Amino acid sequence: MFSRKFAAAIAVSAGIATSLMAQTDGELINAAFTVGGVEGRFTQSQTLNTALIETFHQPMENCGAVCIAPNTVSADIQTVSEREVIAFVASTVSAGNGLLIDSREPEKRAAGYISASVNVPTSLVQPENPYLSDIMLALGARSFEGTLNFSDAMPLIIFDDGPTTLDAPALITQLLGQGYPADKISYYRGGMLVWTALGLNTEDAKS
Amino acid sequence: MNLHNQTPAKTSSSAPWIIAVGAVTFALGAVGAFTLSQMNQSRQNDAIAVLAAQLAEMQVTRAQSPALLAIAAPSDVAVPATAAIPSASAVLAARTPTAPAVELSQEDKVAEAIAIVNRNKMRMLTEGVVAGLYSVTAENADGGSRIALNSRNAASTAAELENLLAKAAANGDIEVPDSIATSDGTVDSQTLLFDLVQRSLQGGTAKEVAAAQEMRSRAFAASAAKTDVVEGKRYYTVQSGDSLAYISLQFYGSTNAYETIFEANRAKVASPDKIQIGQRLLIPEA
Repeated sequence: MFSRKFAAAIAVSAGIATSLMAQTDGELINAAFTVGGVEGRFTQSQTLNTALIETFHQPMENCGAVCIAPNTVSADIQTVSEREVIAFVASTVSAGNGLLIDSREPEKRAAGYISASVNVPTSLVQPENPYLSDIMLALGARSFEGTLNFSDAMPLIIFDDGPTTLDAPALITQLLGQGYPADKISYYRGGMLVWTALGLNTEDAKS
Repeated sequence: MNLHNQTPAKTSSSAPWIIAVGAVTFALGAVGAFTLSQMNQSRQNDAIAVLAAQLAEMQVTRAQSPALLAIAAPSDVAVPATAAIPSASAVLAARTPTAPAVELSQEDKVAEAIAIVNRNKMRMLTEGVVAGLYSVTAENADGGSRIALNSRNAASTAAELENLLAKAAANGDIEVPDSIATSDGTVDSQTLLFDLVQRSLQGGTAKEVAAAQEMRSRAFAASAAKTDVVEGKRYYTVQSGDSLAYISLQFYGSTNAYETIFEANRAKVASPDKIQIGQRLLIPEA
């Protein structure tokens, strides 16, 4: 049983993201990717790490009676699932054309993060930050006389600890405010909480 | 018609419907306050400077010389068939306070009327830009997204001027700067329009200079052009309908930075009108 599931391991490379989607039905995830010259792999286990899951359960502060992130950040921002995240890393990110962004503070990220993600804390993407335009350029924007152009800006999938936190929606709102095109941003609402609850692997500061 | 045509009589007889674009350019010059030094610099530049030099030349020579850039009126702005060709220079001279009074003929009056209309159109458009009454958008056209100037105070005027420029260029009545020649051999009148407005603002009042900067900013932000960055250098692949001036508009917000691109690509671009579809051009950082 165990081996049968892993026999379905699929090495995913750029361009066959769609086949990944089709072939993982009924099977545990096992998808390879190469980001920045480093090979990585998404795997899924049936044994859950409940301690880790609990660390990602971050009750929101000052959120009223119900602390649940909205399903959509704004009408034109797509909300995606783990499948899209994995396919995005395997194809777009591997090809150097997109970024999976962890919007949490570095301390929170240290507990564990999705492989191939990069850390852009929401607290950095604020109008007060004098280096804000440098961040935009790093995301692929062009600059001229202080004006930004986002034609070359990379597609992003943005996540945080999960549906109990609002770091990702806040980051998305800031990016939209800077002019980042909505069709280049997706929201992975499940975040670390749902990612680990599905048995998907993470990396942490020690690994 | 040659831009350097200095003979009003020939100007008058060579085309049945002539409107004094000199008058339009006079307005440009008046609004933009071209200076003599600018003009001389413009003349030293090749290609894109041709248009500016013509405009500037108008300002200096209009009092004593009848050199006039005349362009044929498209049918939709044609004057009545009975109107003979006016001496546009006479019209201008008559409107210049220092010039000796000229008895206007019937034809001259017609020409003057047209000149005033065109002058006002260009002024309206330019004043609208100074007042911020416009947007620059990327509009889907054949083969991709193109930057377009949308005037809010003079929308039909902008369209009319663009139309007029296109026809004049097609007829060879105005010399289109090499940098505005497109990769597929057509004339990009929208880029010409940007060029005219931006030239009319440069070197003007503080307000006009600020307006020019704002226009660059809007044009730059509106561009949908995609580039590749290889080892820190940005490259753009020439698309159908591109001219060097249009590429300049997309990456530097104005048509007149075309030389920056041209110089950076001298090895593969023989002259500013010789860019080819599919060619990869280095776009230097501003």
